[in-house]
Amino acid sequence: MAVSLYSGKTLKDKIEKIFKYIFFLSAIVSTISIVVITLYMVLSGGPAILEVGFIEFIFGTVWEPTSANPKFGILPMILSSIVATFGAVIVGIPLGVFGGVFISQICPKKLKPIFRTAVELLAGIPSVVFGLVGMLVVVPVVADIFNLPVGSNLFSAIVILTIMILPTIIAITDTSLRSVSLSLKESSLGLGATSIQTIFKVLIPSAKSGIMSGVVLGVGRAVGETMAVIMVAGNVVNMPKFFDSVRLMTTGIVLEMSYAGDFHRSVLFGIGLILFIFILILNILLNIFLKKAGNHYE
Amino acid sequence: MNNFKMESKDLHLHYGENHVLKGINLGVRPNEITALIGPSGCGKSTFLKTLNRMNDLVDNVKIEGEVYFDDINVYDSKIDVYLLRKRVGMVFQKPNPFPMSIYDNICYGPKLHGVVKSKFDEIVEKSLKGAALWEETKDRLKKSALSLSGGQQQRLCIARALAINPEVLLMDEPTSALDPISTIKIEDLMSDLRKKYTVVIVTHNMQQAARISDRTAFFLMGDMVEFDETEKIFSMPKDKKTEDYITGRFG
Repeated sequence: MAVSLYSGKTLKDKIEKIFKYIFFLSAIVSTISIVVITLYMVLSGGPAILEVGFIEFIFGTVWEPTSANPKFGILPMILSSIVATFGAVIVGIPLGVFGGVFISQICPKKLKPIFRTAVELLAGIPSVVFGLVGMLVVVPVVADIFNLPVGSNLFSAIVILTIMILPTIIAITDTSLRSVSLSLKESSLGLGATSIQTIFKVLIPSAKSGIMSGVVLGVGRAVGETMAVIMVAGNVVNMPKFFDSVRLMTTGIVLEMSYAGDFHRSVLFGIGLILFIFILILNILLNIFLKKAGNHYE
Repeated sequence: MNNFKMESKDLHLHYGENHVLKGINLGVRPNEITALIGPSGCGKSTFLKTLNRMNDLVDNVKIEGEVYFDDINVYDSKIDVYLLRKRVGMVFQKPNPFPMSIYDNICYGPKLHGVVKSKFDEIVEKSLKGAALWEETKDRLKKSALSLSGGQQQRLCIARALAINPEVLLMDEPTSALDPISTIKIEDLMSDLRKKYTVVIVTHNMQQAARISDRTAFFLMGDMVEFDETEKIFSMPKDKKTEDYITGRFG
């Protein structure tokens, strides 16, 4: 009997070790990826930015990459990206949070699965499909309502982006509200609060950190979205105005990549680097904000 | 008209197909502690929750009969249920402070009911004193309520309920999640509470009912089997089922 005790242990040990390596490898893949991507972006975009001049690049307002005397100012794209994201988030957060509140707290039990399925489906729709719907529905409707010759503009982009970030915010709000203990809700109602008072004063504050992470994911999606935006934004390089055609950083890269010559191409990588830094800063800021808001009483 | 603070008359309650309360007639006298005892699922907690209409929140609930608060039927369609719950406060089984500071926990109710901010300091002190928690927390009112121990949290929940000046305090097994020392503190507190409030307590713990209550009702399978002065219930119960239960033969 003693023999089998010994032999069994070494085999198990080996399996243990192998699995530890598998786990380690799985974890290292993403870490390596982020390092490689960062390096690659800096190396391929950095020199072009330096050659154009950093200030000239991010504060220049003229984008004429193919003229005889080319100008590479991407301020209009940066600002358009910021305004489009901000607009989608400003509208999307209340809509998404209220939608999540409705599904988790107010909706009759029988209807809940219908709403939840709808939100899940919306989250799974590819962005090109959002773009198609945007082109065929949103753009003409916007042109109609605001009496514009063309509806492809910043406003339409914001509408599409808002719809695209909704499912993330709704689903995460719903989940985090559901995880708030029922006893908190009861004790608020037991003190004579109405359901709406309970939702705003107890449930949402208790679910705050979860809801905020939904918002972060939504912001990330809005900043990075390209395909749907190309199809509704009109894509002319303009300073952001609601009813003007705009080009964002993301779309700016894609639109010209196919025909860009050497230096032009490096500059597009430069835009990519700026976008990358932009998202990095946004993430750090949101995380700091999250920690402050979320851990206050935990 | 009568000397009951709250009184149920032929109260029936159904959850879907389940007949949970089968015609309960029970009068709660003012400034007494009324204990409800009985095995799990006998309807005692459900009955407690009919007194401030917390059962309204449950799906598929059907309630017949009357519950009087003073002379008002609380199931009258014209009743403002939020005001009712202000006057008939409740403490739950699990300590459930809000994830806010101790101070904000106490002020939550007063804020809801439109009390002016300048009164808050006074209310906080009075409520915490009323729940025998002031000495332990007076220097840390702005700290999170979740930093308190379980027993302190439950006393905070009592203080929170006291802060809106209820007339009746319903307690649903308030010590079942607590250690013996915290339990004793809350039991001591309850005999003080009786002086100002009318208390109805559901408890699993028969010794607790015997120690603290003035009257005890024994519930079984949705019926109220017996209701009398606590001393009588525990020394010479009239019903055989009560006797079997309090002597530990079932339940």
